[in-house]
Amino acid sequence: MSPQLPQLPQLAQVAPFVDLGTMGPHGTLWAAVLIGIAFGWALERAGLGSARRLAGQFYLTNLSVFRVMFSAIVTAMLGTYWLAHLGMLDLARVFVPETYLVPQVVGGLLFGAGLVVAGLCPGTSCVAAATGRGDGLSVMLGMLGGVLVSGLGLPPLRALYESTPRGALTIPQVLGLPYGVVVAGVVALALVAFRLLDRVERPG
Amino acid sequence: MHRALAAAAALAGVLAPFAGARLAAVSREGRVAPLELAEWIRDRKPGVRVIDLRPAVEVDLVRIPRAERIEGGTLDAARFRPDEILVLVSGDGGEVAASAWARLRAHGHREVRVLEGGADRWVDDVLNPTLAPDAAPEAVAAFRRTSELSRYFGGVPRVLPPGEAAPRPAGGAARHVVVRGRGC
Repeated sequence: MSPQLPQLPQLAQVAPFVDLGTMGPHGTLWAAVLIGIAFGWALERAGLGSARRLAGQFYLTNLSVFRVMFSAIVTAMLGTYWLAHLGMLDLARVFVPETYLVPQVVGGLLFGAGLVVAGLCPGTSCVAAATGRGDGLSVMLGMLGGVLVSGLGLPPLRALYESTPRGALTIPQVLGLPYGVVVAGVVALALVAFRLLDRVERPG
Repeated sequence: MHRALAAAAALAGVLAPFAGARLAAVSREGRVAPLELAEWIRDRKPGVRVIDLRPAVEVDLVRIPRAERIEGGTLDAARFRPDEILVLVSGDGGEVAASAWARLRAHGHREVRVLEGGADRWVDDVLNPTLAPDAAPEAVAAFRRTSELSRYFGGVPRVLPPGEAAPRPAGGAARHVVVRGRGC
C-alpha cells in the first residue's frame, strides 16, 4: 500500500463560480475582464509584447516565453490540483475541451507557422497593440479576419473539423497514471527545463 | 525569490502523488442526475444501457433497475452499440465510473454518462427523497413529481417533521442494508 498524506481539511466548495452560484453571470464577466487585464499586464511586464523577444524563442536567443508560459502552466496546475484536494474546487465540473486529433494537429501547425511569421500569438498581439505597436495591431486584425474566414468557410471543412474525435482526454488518462504522479512529473520537468535553459540560451 | 518559488513548486509537486487519487474529471455533459436516470428507466428511453461497475456484494444491496453488472477490468472487452447511451454507476465516490467514462470516450463512445453521486445518490434522491416542512411551493411541487417517481421504484418519500433536518448521507454498506430488497 502506497503512503498517503493525512486527510486534508475540507474547505467550503466555491468553484466553479457559476455552477455553484458563488458568482452570478455578471460577476463572472467582470472577473473575466479583470483577469484579462491582469494577464495582459503580466505579459507586458514579462516583455512578451515584443515580437523580437517571441521570435527569439525559435532561435534560442531569448527563452522568456518558455519560462513565462511554463511557469504559468505549473502554477495553474498546482493551484487546480490542490484546491480540488482541499475541496474548494469541484474538478468534475471543470470543462475539459474535447480532443480531435487530426484537426488539432493541423490547427497547431498553422498556429505555429503564424507565430513564427508574425512573432506574436493572439494574447501577445493584443498586448503589443495595446502598447501602440503597429505589428501587434496588424496581427490582431489578421487574427480576427482569420476567425471570420474560418467561420464562413466551415461547411466545406466540417468533415475535417469533426474528424478523429477522442473525447475529453487528459494526460493522466492517456498515460494511465494517477493524477498526482502526472502533476509531480510536470513539476519535475519544469524545474529541470528551467535549469537547462541557461545553458541552451545564446543571448544575441 | 525565484529559488523560493521553485522550492514551493517542487514541494507541492512532490506531495501530489501522496494526496490520494480522488480526483477525476468528467465533463458536465458526461453526467446524469439520479432523478433523470430514474425517468429514463421508467419511460424506457430507447438506447439507455446502465452499466453497474460496483462489486457484486454492493450491487446485491442496492440494485438499480435495468442495470447490468460489468467488472471494471472487463469493460474493454464488452461490446456496445454506437447508438447506445451508456450510464456508468459506481459507489465509491465516482473514481471507478470516471475512469471507465474516460476509457470509453477514448474508444470513441460518444454517449457515455456517469451517474452523479453513484449508487449512494440514487438511494438518497430516488429511494429516500425528503421534503422540509417549511419548503417553498416550488419545492413542494417538485417533491410531488419526485415522490411519484420514487414510488415507482419502491422508494419511500417523506415529509420531515418540524425540527428534523434532512438525513445526512451515511454512506457505506450500513446504509445500504436499510434499503436492501427495494427497487425493481
